Amino acid sequence: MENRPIRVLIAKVGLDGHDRGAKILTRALRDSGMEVIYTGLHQTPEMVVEAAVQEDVDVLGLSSLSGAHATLFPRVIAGLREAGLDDVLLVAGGIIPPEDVEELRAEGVAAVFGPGTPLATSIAFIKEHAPRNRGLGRRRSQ
Amino acid sequence: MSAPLEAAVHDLAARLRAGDRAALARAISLVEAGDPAGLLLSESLFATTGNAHTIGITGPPGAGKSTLTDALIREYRGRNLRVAVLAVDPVSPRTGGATLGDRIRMTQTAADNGVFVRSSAARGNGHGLGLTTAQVVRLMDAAGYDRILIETVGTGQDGVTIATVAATILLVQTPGSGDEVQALKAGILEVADIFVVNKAELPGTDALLHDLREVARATRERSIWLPPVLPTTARDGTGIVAVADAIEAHRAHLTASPEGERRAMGRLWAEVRALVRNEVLATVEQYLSTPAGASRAVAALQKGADPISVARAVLADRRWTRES
Repeated sequence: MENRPIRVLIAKVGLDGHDRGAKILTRALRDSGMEVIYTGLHQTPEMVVEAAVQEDVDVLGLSSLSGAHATLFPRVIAGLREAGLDDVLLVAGGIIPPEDVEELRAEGVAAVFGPGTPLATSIAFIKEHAPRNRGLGRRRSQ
Repeated sequence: MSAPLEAAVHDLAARLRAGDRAALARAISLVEAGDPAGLLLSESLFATTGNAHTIGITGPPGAGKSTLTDALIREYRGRNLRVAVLAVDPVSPRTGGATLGDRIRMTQTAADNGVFVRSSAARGNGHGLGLTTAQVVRLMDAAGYDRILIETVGTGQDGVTIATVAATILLVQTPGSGDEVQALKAGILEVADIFVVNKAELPGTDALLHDLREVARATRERSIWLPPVLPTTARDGTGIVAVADAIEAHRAHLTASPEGERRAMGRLWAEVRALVRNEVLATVEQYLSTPAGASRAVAALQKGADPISVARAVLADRRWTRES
């Protein structure tokens, strides 16, 4: 499956109602040739995990501006593991205090794109690190 | 087929049939990527399919197809039917990228394991859109979904393509955007089995319902099925029960009449033709991209030959066929 476009899910978890950043990134990733699924606002961790499973995405971008990263991101990550989606590239965006960034990395978030991150930086990171050629993969938990 | 690949395909097929949603999702990815394993999977699952009823939902952008789809999902869940959705969005011809946004309007049922929603870019990936869609529908059928909804923007050719995949075609329109019936391409009006006028609270609904009933009557020349024309307000669920009932009635009609068998055969035959066409096209393209395939033709062009006679010469020497 090496030649297929990178599939990305951009998800907003939690209660904040601002998704301009998520939408701008969605459009930028599309314009760089990716297939981007945007979930819309107010997703629960369970909804995000289910969308990642059904859409078979290579990349999951989690966005939060309201502190949800501390409580909801870990639930998404745990859900992904439970569903056997260990090879999905996880990135995060939004407002995340520096002291929390290390913790997210330890949980398995590959990169945190804070405010002001150039779009080109996010795009290049995703292009470089998205899993390719995932094959027919038997997933761990199934 | 190599033994490891055969084993992997067999394993994925077994997991898909057992209801593993990640397996279905990966199988769809393989089909969409044009991976040979995708066709092998579809082939191995064919004998287990035929239980699902496939419904194509088409219409112009903004008609409310996603909202209608979401309302139908809920109606079907209320009837204890499992539903899979394939939401097809256009792909940018310039970058090849796509924004797949229909999921936003279909997330109310996201945590329900009787619902599977997949977003797809209308690229075809070397298989052609209709062929890829046919394989995805087969995978969803094999996974045990009772109703499969394919949502696609279609006012012209795409809308007719859906007829090569879906058993029941819904055409969704909204009032008040001008001369709606005239604006539609003849093709999709002719293949629609059910007409839905969504946003029926808007002015102009009665006129549109009237016009569509005229169109529906004209289809009686081809079929004893008279396409119903149904007003809905999908946003609040008004009229959705009638739409679901009409789909069931059409399904019963197809089961009871020779038309159902004829159309099912037509879909399979369209798939065979697409498969053969793709294979031939791929073989030709491969030959033409080799130095041997291109050199004589390019040499002839450089000597001033016209492209039509060069193409004729390439076709005549038949060296692109697999045997040579």
